[in-house]
Amino acid sequence: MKTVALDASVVLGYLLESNKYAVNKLPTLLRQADKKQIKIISLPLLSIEVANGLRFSLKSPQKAQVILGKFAQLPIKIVDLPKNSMENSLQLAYENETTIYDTVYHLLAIAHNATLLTCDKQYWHSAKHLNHIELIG
Amino acid sequence: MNTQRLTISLPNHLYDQLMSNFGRGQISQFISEATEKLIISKKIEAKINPVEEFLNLKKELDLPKLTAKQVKQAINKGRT
Repeated sequence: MKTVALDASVVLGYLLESNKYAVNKLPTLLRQADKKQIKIISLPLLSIEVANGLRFSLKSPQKAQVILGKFAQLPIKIVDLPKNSMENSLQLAYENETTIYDTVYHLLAIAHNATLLTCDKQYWHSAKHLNHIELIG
Repeated sequence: MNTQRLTISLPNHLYDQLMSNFGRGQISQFISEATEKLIISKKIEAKINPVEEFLNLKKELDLPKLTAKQVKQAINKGRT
C-alpha cells in the first residue's frame, strides 16, 4: 500500500486555501486513506504545528478548537521517528540548511519508504535531492 | 409537485433492467425515489464520516484565506 507523509503546510494549505493544489489534493488523500487505499502517516509534531498555525490565523478560539477536534479524528497515523533519527535530522538540516522542524517530517518519509507531501516550496527546493518528497503546488 | 424534465444517459444493462422491471410509465417515479434515497444516504454519510466532517469545516466555519507566506509564518510563530 502506498504511504504518504504529511506536514502542517498541507493541512493548513487546505483549510486556509493558501495553496489551491492542497485544496484539491488533501480531500482525495483523506478519502483514499479512509477507504484504506493509501496510508497517511505523520509525526506528533503535526498537531502542534497545525494548532499553532490556527492560533495565529484565526481570531476565534472556538473555531480553532472545533477544527483541531475534527482534525484529530482523521485517518492519519501518528508515529514517532525511529531511534537515533535526531542525529540524522541534525546532519541533514546542517547539510541542506533547513530547520529540524521541517527535516524530521522528511526523515519520517524516508524511514517509512514514503513520500512527504508538502506545500513548503522553500524546504522542497533545499531537500528535493534526497527524494521521498513531492511539492504540492 | 413541480417537476423538471431532464435527459440522462444510462448503460444499456441498466436501461434494460429499468424497462423490464418498471416499464416506461414508472421510470420517472423510480428514478425520483432512488435519487432521493441516495441523496439522503450521502448526506448521512457525510455527517458521520470524520473525513467529510473535517473537509466541510472550511465552508461551515467561513475560514479566512491566507497566502502561503502567512500560513508558514503562523506555523512558525513563536519559535524565534
